Amino acid sequence: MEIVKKIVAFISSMRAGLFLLAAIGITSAIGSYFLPNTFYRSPTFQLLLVLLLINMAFCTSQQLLKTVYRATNGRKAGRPSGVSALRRYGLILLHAGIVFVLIGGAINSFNGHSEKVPIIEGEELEITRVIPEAKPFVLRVNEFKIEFNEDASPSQYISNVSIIEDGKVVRDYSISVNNPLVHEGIKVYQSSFGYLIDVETIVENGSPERKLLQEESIINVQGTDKAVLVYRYIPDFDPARGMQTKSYRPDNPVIIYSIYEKGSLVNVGYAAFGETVEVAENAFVTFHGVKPYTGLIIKRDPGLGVAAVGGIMLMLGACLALMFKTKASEQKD
Amino acid sequence: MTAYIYELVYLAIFLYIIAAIVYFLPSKSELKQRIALWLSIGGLLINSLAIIARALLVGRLPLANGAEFMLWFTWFTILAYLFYEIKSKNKGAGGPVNFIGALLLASIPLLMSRQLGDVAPLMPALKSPWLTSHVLTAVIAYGSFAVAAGIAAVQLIKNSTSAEVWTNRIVAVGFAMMTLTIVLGAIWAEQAWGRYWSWDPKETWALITWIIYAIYFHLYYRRDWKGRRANVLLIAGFVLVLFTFLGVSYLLSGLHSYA
Repeated sequence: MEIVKKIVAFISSMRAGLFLLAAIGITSAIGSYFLPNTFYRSPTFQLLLVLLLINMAFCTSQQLLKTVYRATNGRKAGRPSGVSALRRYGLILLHAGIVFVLIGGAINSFNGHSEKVPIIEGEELEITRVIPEAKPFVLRVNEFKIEFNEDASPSQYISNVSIIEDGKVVRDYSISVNNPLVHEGIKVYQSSFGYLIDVETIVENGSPERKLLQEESIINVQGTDKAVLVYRYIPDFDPARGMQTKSYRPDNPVIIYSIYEKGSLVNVGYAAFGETVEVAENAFVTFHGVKPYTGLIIKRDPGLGVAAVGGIMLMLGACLALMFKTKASEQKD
Repeated sequence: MTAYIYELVYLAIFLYIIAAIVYFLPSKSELKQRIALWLSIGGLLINSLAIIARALLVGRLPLANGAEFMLWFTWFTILAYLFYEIKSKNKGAGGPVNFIGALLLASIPLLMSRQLGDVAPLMPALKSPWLTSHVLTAVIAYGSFAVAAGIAAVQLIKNSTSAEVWTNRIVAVGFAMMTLTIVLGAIWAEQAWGRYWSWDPKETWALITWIIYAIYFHLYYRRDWKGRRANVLLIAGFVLVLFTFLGVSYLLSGLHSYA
Protein backbone atom coordinates (compact mmCIF):
# COMPACT_ATOMS: atom_id res chain seq x y z
CA MET A 1 0.00 0.00 0.00
CA GLU A 2 2.83 2.34 0.89
CA ILE A 3 4.47 1.73 -2.48
CA VAL A 4 1.25 2.49 -4.35
CA LYS A 5 0.92 5.69 -2.38
CA LYS A 6 4.47 6.66 -3.20
CA ILE A 7 4.03 5.94 -6.89
CA VAL A 8 0.82 7.97 -7.00
CA ALA A 9 2.54 10.77 -5.14
CA PHE A 10 5.40 10.80 -7.62
CA ILE A 11 3.20 10.57 -10.72
CA SER A 12 1.01 13.41 -9.50
CA SER A 13 3.92 15.56 -8.36
CA MET A 14 4.81 18.88 -9.92
CA ARG A 15 8.39 17.72 -10.29
CA ALA A 16 7.26 14.85 -12.56
CA GLY A 17 4.98 17.22 -14.48
CA LEU A 18 7.76 19.72 -15.11
CA PHE A 19 10.10 16.93 -16.14
CA LEU A 20 7.50 15.65 -18.62
CA LEU A 21 6.87 19.15 -20.01
CA ALA A 22 10.60 19.66 -20.49
CA ALA A 23 10.94 16.23 -22.12
CA ILE A 24 8.05 16.98 -24.49
CA GLY A 25 9.57 20.36 -25.35
CA ILE A 26 13.06 19.02 -26.01
CA THR A 27 12.00 15.92 -27.96
CA SER A 28 9.51 17.83 -30.10
CA ALA A 29 12.19 20.42 -30.92
CA ILE A 30 14.49 17.66 -32.14
CA GLY A 31 11.60 15.90 -33.86
CA SER A 32 10.48 19.05 -35.71
CA TYR A 33 13.84 19.16 -37.45
CA PHE A 34 14.82 15.53 -38.02
CA LEU A 35 11.50 13.70 -38.33
CA PRO A 36 8.87 16.36 -39.00
CA ASN A 37 6.27 13.91 -40.33
CA THR A 38 6.63 10.80 -38.22
CA PHE A 39 8.05 11.74 -34.84
CA TYR A 40 4.81 12.93 -33.27
CA ARG A 41 3.14 9.60 -34.02
CA SER A 42 5.98 7.55 -32.54
CA PRO A 43 5.17 5.42 -29.46
CA THR A 44 7.84 7.22 -27.39
CA PHE A 45 6.30 10.64 -27.93
CA GLN A 46 2.75 9.35 -27.47
CA LEU A 47 3.86 7.76 -24.19
CA LEU A 48 5.16 11.14 -22.98
CA LEU A 49 1.77 12.71 -23.77
CA VAL A 50 -0.09 9.92 -21.96
CA LEU A 51 2.17 10.31 -18.91
CA LEU A 52 1.56 14.06 -18.95
CA LEU A 53 -2.17 13.43 -19.11
CA ILE A 54 -2.00 11.10 -16.08
CA ASN A 55 0.22 13.53 -14.16
CA MET A 56 -1.97 16.54 -14.89
CA ALA A 57 -5.21 14.67 -14.20
CA PHE A 58 -3.93 13.62 -10.74
CA CYS A 59 -2.39 16.99 -9.99
CA THR A 60 -5.44 18.98 -11.08
CA SER A 61 -7.94 16.83 -9.22
CA GLN A 62 -5.86 17.12 -6.02
CA GLN A 63 -5.82 20.89 -6.38
CA LEU A 64 -9.54 20.89 -7.08
CA LEU A 65 -10.26 18.80 -3.97
CA LYS A 66 -8.12 21.12 -1.85
CA THR A 67 -9.94 24.15 -3.18
CA VAL A 68 -13.36 22.62 -2.58
CA TYR A 69 -12.27 21.70 0.94
CA ARG A 70 -11.06 25.23 1.56
CA ALA A 71 -14.25 26.71 0.17
CA THR A 72 -16.41 24.58 2.47
CA ASN A 73 -14.21 25.02 5.54
CA GLY A 74 -13.00 28.44 4.51
CA ARG A 75 -13.97 30.45 7.52
CA LYS A 76 -12.63 27.99 10.02
CA ALA A 77 -9.28 27.80 8.21
CA GLY A 78 -9.16 31.57 7.99
CA ARG A 79 -8.26 31.48 4.28
CA PRO A 80 -8.29 34.61 2.19
CA SER A 81 -11.14 34.70 -0.28
CA GLY A 82 -12.18 36.99 -3.12
CA VAL A 83 -9.43 37.92 -5.53
CA SER A 84 -6.96 35.19 -4.63
CA ALA A 85 -9.75 32.59 -4.76
CA LEU A 86 -10.63 33.68 -8.31
CA ARG A 87 -7.00 33.43 -9.30
CA ARG A 88 -6.94 29.93 -7.84
CA TYR A 89 -10.00 28.91 -9.87
CA GLY A 90 -8.30 30.37 -12.95
CA LEU A 91 -5.20 28.26 -12.39
CA ILE A 92 -7.25 25.11 -11.83
CA LEU A 93 -9.24 25.85 -14.99
CA LEU A 94 -5.98 26.33 -16.90
CA HIS A 95 -4.64 22.97 -15.75
CA ALA A 96 -7.95 21.17 -16.25
CA GLY A 97 -8.09 22.65 -19.78
CA ILE A 98 -4.85 20.87 -20.66
CA VAL A 99 -6.29 17.60 -19.31
CA PHE A 100 -9.41 18.03 -21.50
CA VAL A 101 -7.35 18.87 -24.61
CA LEU A 102 -5.19 15.77 -24.08
CA ILE A 103 -8.27 13.56 -23.56
CA GLY A 104 -9.90 15.04 -26.70
CA GLY A 105 -6.74 14.32 -28.67
CA ALA A 106 -6.59 10.77 -27.33
CA ILE A 107 -10.23 10.11 -28.30
CA ASN A 108 -9.46 11.39 -31.80
CA SER A 109 -6.39 9.25 -32.19
CA PHE A 110 -8.39 6.11 -31.28
CA ASN A 111 -11.75 6.82 -32.94
CA GLY A 112 -11.21 9.74 -35.28
CA HIS A 113 -10.81 9.51 -39.01
CA SER A 114 -9.57 11.99 -41.57
CA GLU A 115 -8.87 11.38 -45.22
CA LYS A 116 -8.18 13.46 -48.30
CA VAL A 117 -10.39 12.42 -51.21
CA PRO A 118 -10.23 13.71 -54.79
CA ILE A 119 -13.66 14.01 -56.42
CA ILE A 120 -14.25 14.98 -60.05
CA GLU A 121 -16.94 17.53 -60.85
CA GLY A 122 -20.28 15.76 -61.22
CA GLU A 123 -19.20 12.67 -59.28
CA GLU A 124 -20.62 11.30 -56.06
CA LEU A 125 -19.04 9.85 -52.97
CA GLU A 126 -20.67 7.42 -50.54
CA ILE A 127 -19.49 8.87 -47.22
CA THR A 128 -19.33 5.45 -45.50
CA ARG A 129 -16.67 4.39 -48.00
CA VAL A 130 -14.34 6.90 -46.36
CA ILE A 131 -15.70 6.85 -42.80
CA PRO A 132 -17.44 3.56 -42.05
CA GLU A 133 -18.87 4.81 -38.71
CA ALA A 134 -20.68 7.73 -40.34
CA LYS A 135 -24.43 7.94 -40.77
CA PRO A 136 -24.75 7.16 -44.49
CA PHE A 137 -25.20 9.96 -47.02
CA VAL A 138 -23.93 10.73 -50.48
CA LEU A 139 -21.82 13.78 -51.27
CA ARG A 140 -22.06 15.04 -54.85
CA VAL A 141 -19.61 17.64 -56.16
CA ASN A 142 -21.65 19.78 -58.55
CA GLU A 143 -18.89 22.24 -59.35
CA PHE A 144 -15.37 23.15 -58.37
CA LYS A 145 -14.32 26.71 -59.11
CA ILE A 146 -11.54 29.14 -58.28
CA GLU A 147 -12.42 32.79 -57.79
CA PHE A 148 -9.72 35.29 -58.66
CA ASN A 149 -8.51 38.68 -57.52
CA GLU A 150 -7.84 41.41 -60.06
CA ASP A 151 -4.16 40.43 -60.16
CA ALA A 152 -5.19 36.85 -61.11
CA SER A 153 -4.14 35.41 -57.74
CA PRO A 154 -6.72 32.99 -56.28
CA SER A 155 -9.15 34.67 -53.90
CA GLN A 156 -11.13 31.56 -52.98
CA TYR A 157 -11.44 27.85 -53.82
CA ILE A 158 -15.04 26.66 -53.82
CA SER A 159 -16.65 23.24 -54.10
CA ASN A 160 -20.42 23.40 -54.58
CA VAL A 161 -21.81 20.16 -53.20
CA SER A 162 -25.14 18.49 -52.58
CA ILE A 163 -25.93 16.09 -49.76
CA ILE A 164 -28.10 13.24 -50.92
CA GLU A 165 -30.01 11.01 -48.50
CA ASP A 166 -32.19 8.15 -49.79
CA GLY A 167 -31.82 9.45 -53.34
CA LYS A 168 -33.02 12.96 -52.48
CA VAL A 169 -31.01 16.15 -52.25
CA VAL A 170 -31.45 17.35 -48.66
CA ARG A 171 -28.94 20.18 -48.63
CA ASP A 172 -26.74 22.25 -50.94
CA TYR A 173 -23.55 23.83 -49.63
CA SER A 174 -20.56 25.81 -50.86
CA ILE A 175 -17.42 24.47 -49.20
CA SER A 176 -14.55 26.93 -49.29
CA VAL A 177 -11.29 27.52 -47.44
CA ASN A 178 -12.13 28.51 -43.83
CA ASN A 179 -15.71 27.39 -44.39
CA PRO A 180 -16.15 23.61 -44.03
CA LEU A 181 -19.38 21.66 -44.41
CA VAL A 182 -20.69 20.15 -41.16
CA HIS A 183 -23.23 17.34 -41.53
CA GLU A 184 -24.18 14.57 -39.09
CA GLY A 185 -20.87 14.76 -37.21
CA ILE A 186 -18.84 14.76 -40.42
CA LYS A 187 -16.81 17.78 -41.49
CA VAL A 188 -15.73 18.34 -45.09
CA TYR A 189 -12.94 20.81 -45.89
CA GLN A 190 -11.63 22.36 -49.09
CA SER A 191 -8.03 21.20 -49.21
CA SER A 192 -6.62 21.04 -52.74
CA PHE A 193 -7.57 20.71 -56.39
CA GLY A 194 -6.28 19.40 -59.69
CA TYR A 195 -7.23 18.69 -63.25
CA LEU A 196 -7.84 15.66 -65.45
CA ILE A 197 -6.98 16.18 -69.11
CA ASP A 198 -9.47 15.31 -71.86
CA VAL A 199 -7.38 13.69 -74.64
CA GLU A 200 -8.43 12.27 -78.00
CA THR A 201 -6.19 10.27 -80.34
CA ILE A 202 -7.12 9.83 -84.00
CA VAL A 203 -5.37 7.49 -86.40
CA GLU A 204 -6.29 6.87 -89.99
CA ASN A 205 -8.44 3.76 -90.46
CA GLY A 206 -8.91 3.47 -86.70
CA SER A 207 -11.69 4.66 -84.42
CA PRO A 208 -10.91 7.77 -82.35
CA GLU A 209 -10.13 7.14 -78.68
CA ARG A 210 -11.03 9.67 -76.00
CA LYS A 211 -9.91 9.51 -72.35
CA LEU A 212 -9.67 11.57 -69.16
CA LEU A 213 -6.10 11.32 -67.99
CA GLN A 214 -4.15 12.47 -64.98
CA GLU A 215 -1.14 14.67 -65.53
CA GLU A 216 2.02 12.73 -66.41
CA SER A 217 0.07 9.86 -68.05
CA ILE A 218 1.30 8.14 -71.19
CA ILE A 219 -0.88 7.11 -74.13
CA ASN A 220 0.30 4.83 -76.88
CA VAL A 221 -0.88 5.92 -80.32
CA GLN A 222 -2.49 2.90 -82.04
CA GLY A 223 -0.80 1.56 -85.11
CA THR A 224 2.39 3.61 -84.60
CA ASP A 225 5.47 3.20 -82.44
CA LYS A 226 4.83 6.60 -80.89
CA ALA A 227 3.64 7.42 -77.40
CA VAL A 228 2.51 10.76 -75.98
CA LEU A 229 3.30 11.83 -72.43
CA VAL A 230 0.49 14.16 -71.33
CA TYR A 231 2.70 16.10 -69.00
CA ARG A 232 0.97 19.06 -67.45
CA TYR A 233 -1.91 21.51 -67.68
CA ILE A 234 -0.78 25.15 -67.56
CA PRO A 235 -3.76 27.49 -67.01
CA ASP A 236 -1.98 30.72 -67.97
CA PHE A 237 0.88 29.85 -70.26
CA ASP A 238 3.72 32.24 -70.99
CA PRO A 239 6.53 30.81 -73.20
CA ALA A 240 9.05 32.88 -71.25
CA ARG A 241 8.06 31.14 -67.99
CA GLY A 242 7.75 27.64 -69.44
CA MET A 243 6.29 25.19 -66.93
CA GLN A 244 5.56 27.94 -64.40
CA THR A 245 2.02 29.17 -64.90
CA LYS A 246 1.59 32.94 -64.78
CA SER A 247 -1.49 32.50 -62.61
CA TYR A 248 -4.20 29.96 -61.89
CA ARG A 249 -6.70 31.88 -64.01
CA PRO A 250 -7.20 30.07 -67.34
CA ASP A 251 -6.23 33.06 -69.49
CA ASN A 252 -4.05 31.05 -71.87
CA PRO A 253 -4.61 27.37 -71.16
CA VAL A 254 -2.26 24.87 -72.77
CA ILE A 255 -1.18 21.28 -72.30
CA ILE A 256 2.53 20.51 -72.21
CA TYR A 257 3.24 17.18 -73.88
CA SER A 258 6.18 15.20 -75.16
CA ILE A 259 6.33 12.58 -77.90
CA TYR A 260 8.36 9.40 -77.57
CA GLU A 261 9.38 6.96 -80.26
CA LYS A 262 10.30 3.47 -79.03
CA GLY A 263 10.94 4.95 -75.62
CA SER A 264 13.21 7.83 -76.60
CA LEU A 265 12.16 11.45 -76.57
CA VAL A 266 11.65 13.04 -79.98
CA ASN A 267 9.74 16.22 -79.27
CA VAL A 268 8.39 18.45 -76.51
CA GLY A 269 5.62 20.94 -77.21
CA TYR A 270 2.50 22.65 -76.01
CA ALA A 271 -0.97 22.79 -77.49
CA ALA A 272 -4.02 24.90 -76.84
CA PHE A 273 -7.42 23.29 -76.24
CA GLY A 274 -8.88 21.92 -79.48
CA GLU A 275 -5.60 22.21 -81.35
CA THR A 276 -4.61 19.09 -83.30
CA VAL A 277 -1.06 17.84 -82.95
CA GLU A 278 0.38 15.54 -85.56
CA VAL A 279 2.23 12.78 -83.75
CA ALA A 280 3.12 10.66 -86.76
CA GLU A 281 1.96 10.49 -90.34
CA ASN A 282 -1.84 10.36 -90.16
CA ALA A 283 -1.85 10.07 -86.38
CA PHE A 284 -3.12 12.99 -84.31
CA VAL A 285 -3.72 14.00 -80.73
CA THR A 286 -6.16 16.66 -79.57
CA PHE A 287 -6.49 18.03 -76.02
CA HIS A 288 -10.14 19.03 -75.71
CA GLY A 289 -9.91 20.61 -72.31
CA VAL A 290 -9.59 19.81 -68.62
CA LYS A 291 -11.99 18.60 -65.99
CA PRO A 292 -11.31 19.89 -62.50
CA TYR A 293 -11.40 17.73 -59.42
CA THR A 294 -11.52 18.98 -55.89
CA GLY A 295 -9.44 17.59 -53.03
CA LEU A 296 -11.67 17.41 -49.97
CA ILE A 297 -10.66 16.40 -46.46
CA ILE A 298 -13.42 14.32 -44.92
CA LYS A 299 -13.18 14.12 -41.16
CA ARG A 300 -14.88 12.70 -38.11
CA ASP A 301 -13.40 13.67 -34.75
CA PRO A 302 -15.44 12.38 -31.80
CA GLY A 303 -12.97 14.04 -29.41
CA LEU A 304 -13.43 17.52 -30.85
CA GLY A 305 -16.09 18.57 -28.33
CA VAL A 306 -13.93 17.59 -25.35
CA ALA A 307 -10.87 19.32 -26.84
CA ALA A 308 -12.94 22.45 -27.56
CA VAL A 309 -14.15 22.60 -23.95
CA GLY A 310 -10.48 22.21 -22.92
CA GLY A 311 -9.46 25.08 -25.20
CA ILE A 312 -12.11 27.38 -23.74
CA MET A 313 -11.07 26.41 -20.20
CA LEU A 314 -7.44 27.19 -21.08
CA MET A 315 -8.31 30.67 -22.36
CA LEU A 316 -10.67 31.45 -19.51
CA GLY A 317 -8.25 30.11 -16.90
CA ALA A 318 -5.32 32.09 -18.30
CA CYS A 319 -7.36 35.32 -18.27
CA LEU A 320 -8.73 34.75 -14.74
CA ALA A 321 -5.29 33.93 -13.33
CA LEU A 322 -3.86 37.03 -14.98
CA MET A 323 -6.63 39.48 -14.06
CA PHE A 324 -6.68 38.54 -10.42
CA LYS A 325 -2.93 38.41 -9.98
CA THR A 326 -1.81 40.85 -7.31
CA LYS A 327 -0.25 43.92 -8.84
CA ALA A 328 3.53 44.07 -8.94
CA SER A 329 3.58 47.38 -7.10
CA GLU A 330 1.46 45.87 -4.32
CA GLN A 331 3.41 42.65 -4.06
CA LYS A 332 5.75 42.27 -1.15
CA ASP A 333 8.74 40.09 -1.49
CA MET B 1 2.57 58.74 -46.58
CA THR B 2 2.40 55.23 -48.07
CA ALA B 3 5.22 56.16 -50.47
CA TYR B 4 7.52 56.76 -47.50
CA ILE B 5 6.88 53.51 -45.66
CA TYR B 6 10.50 52.32 -46.03
CA GLU B 7 11.82 55.70 -44.85
CA LEU B 8 9.51 55.56 -41.82
CA VAL B 9 10.87 52.13 -40.90
CA TYR B 10 14.48 53.31 -41.27
CA LEU B 11 13.76 56.42 -39.19
CA ALA B 12 12.16 54.37 -36.42
CA ILE B 13 15.16 51.99 -36.38
CA PHE B 14 17.46 55.03 -36.17
CA LEU B 15 15.53 56.59 -33.28
CA TYR B 16 15.43 53.31 -31.33
CA ILE B 17 19.21 52.90 -31.78
CA ILE B 18 19.92 56.45 -30.63
CA ALA B 19 17.55 55.98 -27.70
CA ALA B 20 19.38 52.76 -26.77
CA ILE B 21 22.76 54.52 -26.94
CA VAL B 22 21.58 57.37 -24.74
CA TYR B 23 20.06 54.90 -22.26
CA PHE B 24 23.38 53.03 -22.20
CA LEU B 25 25.41 56.20 -21.36
CA PRO B 26 26.88 55.90 -17.86
CA SER B 27 25.58 59.31 -16.71
CA LYS B 28 22.78 59.18 -14.17
CA SER B 29 21.51 62.70 -14.87
CA GLU B 30 17.80 63.41 -15.10
CA LEU B 31 18.35 65.15 -18.47
CA LYS B 32 19.89 62.05 -20.04
CA GLN B 33 16.96 59.94 -18.89
CA ARG B 34 14.51 62.44 -20.35
CA ILE B 35 16.27 62.60 -23.71
CA ALA B 36 16.39 58.81 -23.90
CA LEU B 37 12.72 58.53 -23.01
CA TRP B 38 11.68 61.10 -25.63
CA LEU B 39 13.83 59.48 -28.33
CA SER B 40 12.10 56.21 -27.57
CA ILE B 41 8.67 57.90 -27.69
CA GLY B 42 9.69 59.49 -31.02
CA GLY B 43 10.63 56.07 -32.39
CA LEU B 44 7.30 54.71 -31.22
CA LEU B 45 5.41 57.52 -33.00
CA ILE B 46 7.28 56.91 -36.27
CA ASN B 47 6.69 53.17 -35.80
CA SER B 48 2.95 53.94 -35.43
CA LEU B 49 3.03 56.01 -38.63
CA ALA B 50 4.65 53.06 -40.45
CA ILE B 51 1.80 50.80 -39.28
CA ILE B 52 -0.77 53.37 -40.45
CA ALA B 53 1.05 53.72 -43.80
CA ARG B 54 0.98 49.95 -44.24
CA ALA B 55 -2.75 49.87 -43.35
CA LEU B 56 -3.46 52.60 -45.94
CA LEU B 57 -1.37 50.73 -48.52
CA VAL B 58 -3.27 47.45 -48.20
CA GLY B 59 -6.65 48.77 -47.05
CA ARG B 60 -6.97 46.41 -44.08
CA LEU B 61 -5.56 45.94 -40.60
CA PRO B 62 -1.97 44.92 -41.45
CA LEU B 63 -1.64 41.66 -39.52
CA ALA B 64 -0.91 39.11 -42.22
CA ASN B 65 2.68 38.89 -43.43
CA GLY B 66 5.97 38.79 -41.53
CA ALA B 67 6.86 42.46 -42.03
CA GLU B 68 3.42 43.56 -40.82
CA PHE B 69 3.79 41.40 -37.73
CA MET B 70 7.26 42.79 -37.07
CA LEU B 71 5.97 46.40 -37.18
CA TRP B 72 3.42 45.54 -34.48
CA PHE B 73 5.80 43.35 -32.49
CA THR B 74 8.33 46.21 -32.19
CA TRP B 75 5.60 48.77 -31.57
CA PHE B 76 4.13 46.81 -28.67
CA THR B 77 7.56 45.99 -27.20
CA ILE B 78 8.48 49.68 -26.96
CA LEU B 79 4.99 50.70 -25.80
CA ALA B 80 5.03 48.07 -23.04
CA TYR B 81 8.53 49.14 -22.00
CA LEU B 82 7.58 52.83 -21.79
CA PHE B 83 4.55 51.87 -19.73
CA TYR B 84 6.83 49.86 -17.43
CA GLU B 85 9.42 52.64 -17.13
CA ILE B 86 6.85 55.30 -16.25
CA LYS B 87 4.89 53.04 -13.91
CA SER B 88 7.81 51.36 -12.10
CA LYS B 89 10.22 54.31 -12.24
CA ASN B 90 12.95 51.77 -13.05
CA LYS B 91 14.97 53.04 -15.98
CA GLY B 92 17.74 50.51 -16.31
CA ALA B 93 16.29 48.35 -19.07
CA GLY B 94 15.76 51.14 -21.65
CA GLY B 95 19.03 50.36 -23.42
CA PRO B 96 18.51 46.65 -24.07
CA VAL B 97 14.79 46.99 -24.87
CA ASN B 98 15.30 49.81 -27.39
CA PHE B 99 18.18 47.86 -28.85
CA ILE B 100 15.95 44.77 -29.19
CA GLY B 101 13.31 47.04 -30.81
CA ALA B 102 15.84 48.35 -33.34
CA LEU B 103 17.03 44.83 -34.15
CA LEU B 104 13.49 43.52 -34.55
CA LEU B 105 12.56 46.36 -36.88
CA ALA B 106 15.84 46.01 -38.79
CA SER B 107 14.85 42.45 -39.65
CA ILE B 108 12.25 43.95 -42.05
CA PRO B 109 14.76 45.48 -44.51
CA LEU B 110 17.22 42.64 -43.85
CA LEU B 111 14.95 39.62 -44.22
CA MET B 112 11.57 40.64 -45.62
CA SER B 113 12.08 43.87 -47.48
CA ARG B 114 9.74 42.98 -50.34
CA GLN B 115 6.86 42.28 -47.94
CA LEU B 116 6.67 45.88 -46.79
CA GLY B 117 5.59 47.13 -50.21
CA ASP B 118 3.68 44.00 -51.20
CA VAL B 119 0.03 44.86 -51.99
CA ALA B 120 -1.12 41.39 -53.10
CA PRO B 121 -4.52 40.47 -51.66
CA LEU B 122 -4.76 37.94 -48.83
CA MET B 123 -4.57 34.27 -49.76
CA PRO B 124 -7.74 32.27 -49.08
CA ALA B 125 -6.40 30.54 -45.94
CA LEU B 126 -5.89 33.94 -44.25
CA LYS B 127 -9.40 35.19 -44.98
CA SER B 128 -10.82 34.47 -41.58
CA PRO B 129 -12.23 36.44 -38.66
CA TRP B 130 -9.74 34.55 -36.45
CA LEU B 131 -6.75 36.28 -38.07
CA THR B 132 -7.04 39.50 -36.04
CA SER B 133 -7.38 37.93 -32.60
CA HIS B 134 -4.76 35.22 -33.25
CA VAL B 135 -2.13 37.71 -34.43
CA LEU B 136 -2.88 40.55 -31.98
CA THR B 137 -2.61 38.22 -28.99
CA ALA B 138 0.70 36.96 -30.42
CA VAL B 139 1.92 40.58 -30.70
CA ILE B 140 1.13 41.22 -27.03
CA ALA B 141 2.69 37.90 -25.97
CA TYR B 142 5.92 38.34 -27.91
CA GLY B 143 6.24 42.02 -26.96
CA SER B 144 5.82 41.22 -23.25
CA PHE B 145 8.45 38.47 -23.47
CA ALA B 146 10.82 40.92 -25.20
CA VAL B 147 10.48 43.50 -22.42
CA ALA B 148 10.86 40.83 -19.73
CA ALA B 149 14.05 39.57 -21.42
CA GLY B 150 15.45 43.12 -21.60
CA ILE B 151 14.81 43.72 -17.90
CA ALA B 152 16.16 40.24 -17.06
CA ALA B 153 19.39 40.98 -18.96
CA VAL B 154 19.97 44.16 -16.96
CA GLN B 155 19.19 42.35 -13.71
CA LEU B 156 21.70 39.66 -14.60
CA ILE B 157 24.46 42.16 -15.37
CA LYS B 158 23.77 44.19 -12.24
CA ASN B 159 23.35 41.01 -10.22
CA SER B 160 20.17 42.45 -8.80
CA THR B 161 16.63 41.18 -8.22
CA SER B 162 14.93 44.52 -7.60
CA ALA B 163 12.73 44.28 -10.71
CA GLU B 164 11.88 40.61 -10.28
CA VAL B 165 8.28 41.18 -9.30
CA TRP B 166 7.84 43.35 -12.38
CA THR B 167 9.33 40.83 -14.80
CA ASN B 168 7.10 38.18 -13.27
CA ARG B 169 4.07 40.38 -13.82
CA ILE B 170 5.04 41.19 -17.43
CA VAL B 171 5.72 37.54 -18.22
CA ALA B 172 2.30 36.68 -16.76
CA VAL B 173 0.69 38.98 -19.35
CA GLY B 174 2.80 37.40 -22.08
CA PHE B 175 1.99 33.88 -20.94
CA ALA B 176 -1.77 34.47 -20.78
CA MET B 177 -1.67 36.05 -24.26
CA MET B 178 0.49 33.20 -25.60
CA THR B 179 -2.12 30.75 -24.28
CA LEU B 180 -4.82 32.70 -26.16
CA THR B 181 -2.67 32.83 -29.32
CA ILE B 182 -2.22 29.07 -29.34
CA VAL B 183 -5.86 28.23 -28.59
CA LEU B 184 -7.25 30.82 -31.04
CA GLY B 185 -4.81 29.49 -33.64
CA ALA B 186 -6.01 25.95 -32.96
CA ILE B 187 -9.66 26.99 -33.40
CA TRP B 188 -8.74 28.68 -36.68
CA ALA B 189 -6.66 25.69 -37.86
CA GLU B 190 -9.64 23.44 -37.21
CA GLN B 191 -11.70 25.66 -39.54
CA ALA B 192 -9.08 26.12 -42.24
CA TRP B 193 -6.97 22.96 -42.31
CA GLY B 194 -9.32 20.46 -40.72
CA ARG B 195 -7.03 19.82 -37.71
CA TYR B 196 -6.64 21.90 -34.59
CA TRP B 197 -3.13 20.64 -34.04
CA SER B 198 -0.84 19.31 -36.80
CA TRP B 199 2.60 19.52 -35.15
CA ASP B 200 3.45 22.07 -37.82
CA PRO B 201 6.87 23.60 -36.94
CA LYS B 202 5.30 26.95 -35.97
CA GLU B 203 2.82 25.19 -33.67
CA THR B 204 5.52 22.98 -32.19
CA TRP B 205 7.87 25.89 -31.46
CA ALA B 206 5.05 28.04 -30.07
CA LEU B 207 4.29 25.16 -27.70
CA ILE B 208 7.98 24.85 -26.75
CA THR B 209 8.02 28.61 -26.00
CA TRP B 210 4.87 28.24 -23.92
CA ILE B 211 6.41 25.29 -22.04
CA ILE B 212 9.57 27.21 -21.06
CA TYR B 213 7.48 30.03 -19.56
CA ALA B 214 5.22 27.47 -17.82
CA ILE B 215 8.34 25.96 -16.26
CA TYR B 216 9.51 29.44 -15.26
CA PHE B 217 6.25 30.08 -13.33
CA HIS B 218 6.33 26.77 -11.51
CA LEU B 219 9.94 27.23 -10.44
CA TYR B 220 9.30 30.87 -9.53
CA TYR B 221 6.36 30.15 -7.27
CA ARG B 222 8.15 27.22 -5.66
CA ARG B 223 10.88 29.79 -4.95
CA ASP B 224 13.38 27.32 -6.37
CA TRP B 225 14.51 29.42 -9.26
CA LYS B 226 14.35 33.07 -8.45
CA GLY B 227 17.02 35.65 -9.12
CA ARG B 228 19.76 34.73 -11.58
CA ARG B 229 18.38 31.44 -12.79
CA ALA B 230 14.92 32.89 -13.39
CA ASN B 231 16.48 35.72 -15.41
CA VAL B 232 18.47 33.25 -17.51
CA LEU B 233 15.23 31.36 -18.16
CA LEU B 234 13.50 34.57 -19.31
CA ILE B 235 16.30 35.35 -21.75
CA ALA B 236 16.25 31.76 -23.04
CA GLY B 237 12.47 32.09 -23.42
CA PHE B 238 12.88 35.16 -25.60
CA VAL B 239 15.46 33.39 -27.76
CA LEU B 240 12.80 30.71 -28.30
CA VAL B 241 10.26 33.43 -29.18
CA LEU B 242 12.64 34.74 -31.84
CA PHE B 243 13.25 31.26 -33.15
CA THR B 244 9.51 30.54 -33.27
CA PHE B 245 8.93 33.69 -35.27
CA LEU B 246 12.03 33.99 -37.49
CA GLY B 247 13.86 30.66 -37.27
CA VAL B 248 10.84 28.53 -38.07
CA SER B 249 9.86 30.76 -41.00
CA TYR B 250 13.32 30.77 -42.53
CA LEU B 251 14.75 27.38 -41.51
CA LEU B 252 11.83 24.94 -41.29
CA SER B 253 8.99 24.67 -43.77
CA GLY B 254 5.39 24.14 -42.80
CA LEU B 255 1.81 25.27 -43.01
CA HIS B 256 2.56 28.75 -41.65
CA SER B 257 4.39 29.89 -44.81
CA TYR B 258 2.81 33.26 -45.40
CA ALA B 259 5.99 35.31 -45.49
